[in-house]
Amino acid sequence: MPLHMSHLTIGQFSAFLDQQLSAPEQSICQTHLNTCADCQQQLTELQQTVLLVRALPRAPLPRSFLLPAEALAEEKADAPPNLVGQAHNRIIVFPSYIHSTMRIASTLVAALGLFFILSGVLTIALPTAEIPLVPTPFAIHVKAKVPSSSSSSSKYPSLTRDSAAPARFGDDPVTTGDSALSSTGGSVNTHQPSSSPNTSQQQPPLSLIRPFFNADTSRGHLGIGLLLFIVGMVGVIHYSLSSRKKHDKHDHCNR
Amino acid sequence: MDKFARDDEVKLIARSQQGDISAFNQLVLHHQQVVYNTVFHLLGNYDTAADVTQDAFISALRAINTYQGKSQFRTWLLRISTNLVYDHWRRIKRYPSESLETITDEEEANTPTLLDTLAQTGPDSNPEENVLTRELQQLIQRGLQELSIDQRTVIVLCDIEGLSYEEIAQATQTALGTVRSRLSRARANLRLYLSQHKELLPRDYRPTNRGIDTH
Repeated sequence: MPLHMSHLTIGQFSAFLDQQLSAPEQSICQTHLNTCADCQQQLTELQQTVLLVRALPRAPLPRSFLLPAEALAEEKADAPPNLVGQAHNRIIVFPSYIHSTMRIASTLVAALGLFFILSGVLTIALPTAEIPLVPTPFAIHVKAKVPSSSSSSSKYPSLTRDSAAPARFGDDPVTTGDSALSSTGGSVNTHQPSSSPNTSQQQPPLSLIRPFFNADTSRGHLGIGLLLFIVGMVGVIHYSLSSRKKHDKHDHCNR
Repeated sequence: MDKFARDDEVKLIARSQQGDISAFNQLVLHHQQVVYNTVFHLLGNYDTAADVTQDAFISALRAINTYQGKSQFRTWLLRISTNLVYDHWRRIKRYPSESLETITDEEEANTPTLLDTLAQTGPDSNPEENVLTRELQQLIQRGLQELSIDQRTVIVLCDIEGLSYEEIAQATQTALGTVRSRLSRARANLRLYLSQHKELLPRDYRPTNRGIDTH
């Protein structure tokens, strides 16, 4: 069957009525319509349908839709909070490279925390094993406050470990802290006896916290490790979630 | 654009963008009939159409600074209006029971008004013809409501508001081919719906056995 003899499609009927077909296609359709009664009838019915729709009267306005003068004032009043909101968002939303950097840093902190936990656990589990503690800035800092062990620790790290041995094996970590504090505060006590009750009341919290984070003790390692691990994991989770939200938002915008 | 010359419209838009509410209201005055008529035929309900029309003009005022003159202002307004109609339609689909009850109640309450207001044609004819016209208008409106929202939007914009295919593509943010196919399907579906109610169609519009020359 030649092309001009095939029946018109739904799309061709509609486009033919609106003269939206290309000139050759329009003439082909016209040629077919001249010879096909069925297509002619369908076209007529479609044309009648279009005429009926076009004959629909306009719906009368129920009221005027003029905006009151206050509408613009309301829009202006609404604007400052929006701007503030946008500025607020700008402050909160960091660039993506900061997110990735912070995530990596958090992972490293968590890994360091794990290392401390493991070292603390190993020293507790293997009390007789000769596991040299890694000299850390914490240890150096604490040792600097204790003049008696500072000279020996710089030369012989193993001796330092021995001096801290009672605390490491869990005898009484508080005693080391107390002794250190009492040695430093001893002169104060002699000169100002009246202030000694105050200082002794303020020291216990410090004396409880300091040995827990003392890098020379196994408990200190556990404490530091736990703290670093928790901080690191919170950072990892936070920045992973925020980057995921960012991706979701991006996908939603692209959709 | 006869009385309301395009130059005037451009000036009013510029003044509106500078915050002149009276200039924007002149635009509202000129376009409110087109917007309301479109929204009404898309929703089939006077009260909802009025609310959506008002929202459309408020949205247009908010976004007036984003209008860059790439399309006609009427097309831009109709795009905002159809977007709001789509939003309303999605809400109806999300809460079907509540919205159906509302529509049914409103339809029953508005039936006399609907008939009275729709039948503005043929005032000099006899009462029987007038009634027939009212029924016919109601039938067409029901037929429009039977169409999908996409098809209804295209047929209303094309055959009721007289927009070109290009303007419809801009208003609905779709491709020209999509407009063409939606329009052809909308017309075919409406023809099928009307053919099921031949008794209500006027004699002139009833299908004949033999075709008529379309030229």
